[in-house]
Parts: sequence; structure tokens; C-alpha cells
Amino acid sequence: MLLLFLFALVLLNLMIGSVYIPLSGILFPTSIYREIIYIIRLPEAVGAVIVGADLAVAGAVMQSVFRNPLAEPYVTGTASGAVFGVLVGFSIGIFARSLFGFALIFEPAFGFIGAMAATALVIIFSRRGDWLSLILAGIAISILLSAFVMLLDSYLLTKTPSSLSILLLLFGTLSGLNVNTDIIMALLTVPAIVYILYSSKKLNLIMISDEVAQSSGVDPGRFRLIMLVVSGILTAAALSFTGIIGFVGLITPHIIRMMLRSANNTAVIPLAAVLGASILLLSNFLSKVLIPETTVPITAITSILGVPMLMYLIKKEDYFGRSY
Amino acid sequence: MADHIKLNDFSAGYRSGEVLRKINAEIPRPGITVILGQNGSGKTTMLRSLIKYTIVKGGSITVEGKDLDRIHLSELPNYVAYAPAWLEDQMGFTALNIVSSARVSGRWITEDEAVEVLEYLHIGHLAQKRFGELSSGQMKMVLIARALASGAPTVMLDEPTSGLDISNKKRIMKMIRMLAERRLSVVVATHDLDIALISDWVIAIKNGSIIDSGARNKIISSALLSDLYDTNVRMVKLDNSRLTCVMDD
Repeated sequence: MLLLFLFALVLLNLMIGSVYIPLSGILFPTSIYREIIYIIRLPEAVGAVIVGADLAVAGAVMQSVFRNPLAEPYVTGTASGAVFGVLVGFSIGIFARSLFGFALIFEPAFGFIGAMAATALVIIFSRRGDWLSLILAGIAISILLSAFVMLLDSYLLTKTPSSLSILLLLFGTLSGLNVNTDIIMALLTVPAIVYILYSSKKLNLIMISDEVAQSSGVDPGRFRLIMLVVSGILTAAALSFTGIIGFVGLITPHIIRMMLRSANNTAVIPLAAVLGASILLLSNFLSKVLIPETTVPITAITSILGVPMLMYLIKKEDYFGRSY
Repeated sequence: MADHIKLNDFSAGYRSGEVLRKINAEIPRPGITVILGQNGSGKTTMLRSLIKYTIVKGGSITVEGKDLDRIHLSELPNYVAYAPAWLEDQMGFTALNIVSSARVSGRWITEDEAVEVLEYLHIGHLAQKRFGELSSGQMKMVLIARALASGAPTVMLDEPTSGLDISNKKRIMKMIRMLAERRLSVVVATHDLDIALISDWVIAIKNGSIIDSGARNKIISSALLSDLYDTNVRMVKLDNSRLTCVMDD
């Protein structure tokens, strides 16, 4: 069912854009249609699937690791750290491009370092076991890093004024995706998600209790660190070429848990990946049709979809268990 | 009853400091062993030491003759199972999810096996209920089911009857007896003297040190309990010749 929904959204994303391509045009494309589909829309749609799945899975993992229903890369500062890292990587890339042919890899690599550094800072400045302090520290670090991103952005624009993609990192967009970026993202994403799926039962354990995990043969500290690194890889992969996209990581796992009436990660992780991909495809479609003749930043759409859900979660006290 | 677990001059604690000091104790199998002591005396730390969740400061623990240090963490579920005093679930696991997270002989137990254990303990009807929505008594029973599911020869229960009404407490106590009858070693850290009175073996801890340990009928006395809790406790024989403990002024 969810997969059908995903497939329909992929089709919709192939059809809609500055040029409308009818369904028949997708099935039997003319040479112009073919160019639009294969060079622009299909890489964008495939990229949306990867980015959506990455963010949703990273969110589900972070909620488990921090045992915090509000954790996700955007809220915990990981995403801002990744984008800051991406910009640093981009800057190095500008200078390194003349030296190496594969400068594209700098962005996710530095994105990952940025994601990890920001997450580490947030963990250091939050109180252990206190979910609110984690969120507050995350917001603080996010604001600070966003300021650095703006500064670096302004500087880079004076150096390469034609590079609109730098500015777009601030808002989040899928328009910079192409076959090369898709391949890099997929190479990072597929092993990470496969590993997380393999570890989903262990994720359940650390979500239950550290002592219970330990008594079941899982070192909670070590496993948490591994999972944070893997979710950092996912965040960096997702945001390196798109910029900040918020709330997909937050809402998707919750919707799945509500649908399943269970938090079992063995089911939550794969379904969150499919739903996350669908949400991003839907947001991408909406970002193109909401205001005619322009593309709205995709974070605006994911935020409009996500914030009401966040409010609902905050208000729906019993969702957080007995003590809140 | 053979010595199943032995603590030899064992000292352990956390980063904040040492909690257990030079503990020498045995835990037999099968049977019920209770660890008694005031709040903060080191009861839970002792259970945690058996799942390698403390920092060892000296001495050793042997389980079935093997040094606990040499048992790899991944093999630990083959030796001991642990039910914490309490769990907070903010995400919405079902009781079945909680029990299914147990490991047996190096693999995860299946949902069918988890249901079997829940039914064995007469709580099969809770399987699909959210853990966070269960009553305290039901939560404790699900946690015991989880510990039992791992099939480990030693089942450790932390405060299994705290906060329960009399009928739920009775159910838990019955469950503890049932586990001992299955030739398991049941280790219970508790304040509940009623459990102490159905136990086979008692370990009395005060300020991180053992003040006495041994067969329950030999060592448990008004003097020991009074010393242990720094208040007058008297053991009284009831009409049906069963013992109970009362606090004196």
C-alpha cells in the first residue's frame, strides 16, 4: 500500500515541473521529454526517495538512541552541523577542484564531520536522560551553526557569485540533485540503512533500558555511539546536496508507530524509510505547484506538514508515556 | 544446592565511587536468594555487577565456575537474565515487543516463544497492550516474563513487588516460587520482608558490605533485621506457624 503510494508520487514528480509531461509522455517519451525526465526529474525523484528515507531512518534511530520522542537530525543540531560541514567541504572543494576530479565527495565527507561535531556538542551541553535539555541544546547549537552558515554563505557568494546552490543550502532544495549526487548518496545510504535494519532489535533494546540491553549482551554505550555515527552518515548523505530539510525525521517514525500501534524498530525502520521517501516526494511536488511559476523551498513545505504534528505530539501527553 | 554464583572479595561501583566493598557471598541454584539492605546499601549494584554493568574495583565473580570477566558480553544472556525495578517506555512498545527483545542461546526469541512465556505466566492477554499503559503489577509481570524468556539459569529481579497491592504481590511471589521450582536460581533485591521469608538464601548488605549471608532459616532473625535497618524489627510467628515481621517502636 505504502509502496504503491510511493510509486504514484514518483510518477507525479516526473510529470510536474516547469514543463508538464502527461502520463503518456512518461510511458512513450519524445526526445525532449526524455531529456527532461532522465537528466532532471528522475535524478530529482530518486534523490528525493533517498533523502526522505535517510532523514526518516535517521530520525527513528535518534529517537531510539536518545530515548526521546522529539529527537531527529534537525532538532538535535546534527542537520545544521552537516550543512555547515558541507559548506566547509564546498569551500575546500572550490580550491581542490583544480587538483582532484572528484571534489563532490568533499561535501558529504565534511558534512559527516560537521554532523558528528554538532551532535557531540549537543550531547555535551545537555543533561543525560533529560529529553527537554537535549532539544534546547540542539536548538541552541542549530541557531549558532545557522549563523555560521550564513556568514560562510555570504563570504562564498562574494567569491563565486554565480553559485546559487550555496544560497539554496540555507533553504533546502532538491533542484541541485543529479545522477552523480544520487550515486554518492546511494553509496552512503544503502549500507547504512541495511546495517540499521540488521541492528533494529538492538535498537529496541537500548530504547527499552540500558541495563536490559546490557543483560541481553548489548553494550549500550558502544552501540549508541555506532548508531549515532551511522545516523550522522545518513544525515550528511541526505543534506550534502540539498541543504536543511526539517521535520521529516521527526514526524515519519511517529506516524508509523501510530499506524502500527507499536514501536518495534524491526517494522518501524523499513516502513519509515518508505513513508519518509513518500513525504519528501509529496513535499517536492507541493513545492512546485503551491506558487505558480516558482519553486518554494522544500523546508517550508516539510515544516508546514511537520510542525502541526510536533504540536500534536507535545499536546498529546499520554503519547510520551506515564511520566509526562 | 550447589554454589552457582560466587563473589570473592568483590568490590565494585560507578565512576562516582565504590559502592560494594570486599563482598564474599554465594548464590545457590536452584533456589530463591534475597538481597536485603537499606536504600543505597548496594543491592541493585550487586545485581548490576552480575550483568557487568558496574566498574569492578577488585576481586572477582564466578558463574558456574567461570570467571564473569571472561564471559563475553554477548554470551551473558546464556548465564543471567535481569528484570529492572521499573521501565519507562515513551515510544509505545507492546508487552509482546518487550518480551521479544530477550535473547536465548545467542539468538533473538521469536514472537511465538514470547507469547508462550506470557501465557505460561497467565498474562497472555497483555501481549498486544502498550507497555506504558499497563498497571505497575502488570509491568512487573511482563518484565519477569522477559527475564524468564531468555532461558538463563539465573533470573535476577530488582524490587519485583514494590508499589504493588497485596493481590498483585501474591501473584509475583507465586511466580518467584514457580521459577525456583523450575530449578532456576532466582535472585531478588528487595525491601519486601515477605519475599525474604519465602527465600532459601539471604544476603544482608549494609553500606556496601555484607553483614551476614547464608541459609534463610539459619540466619534471619529479629537481631539481624534490626541491625540491617537500624530500627527495631521483630519476627513474629502467626497462628498458622508462618513468620511475619513487624516494626517495633
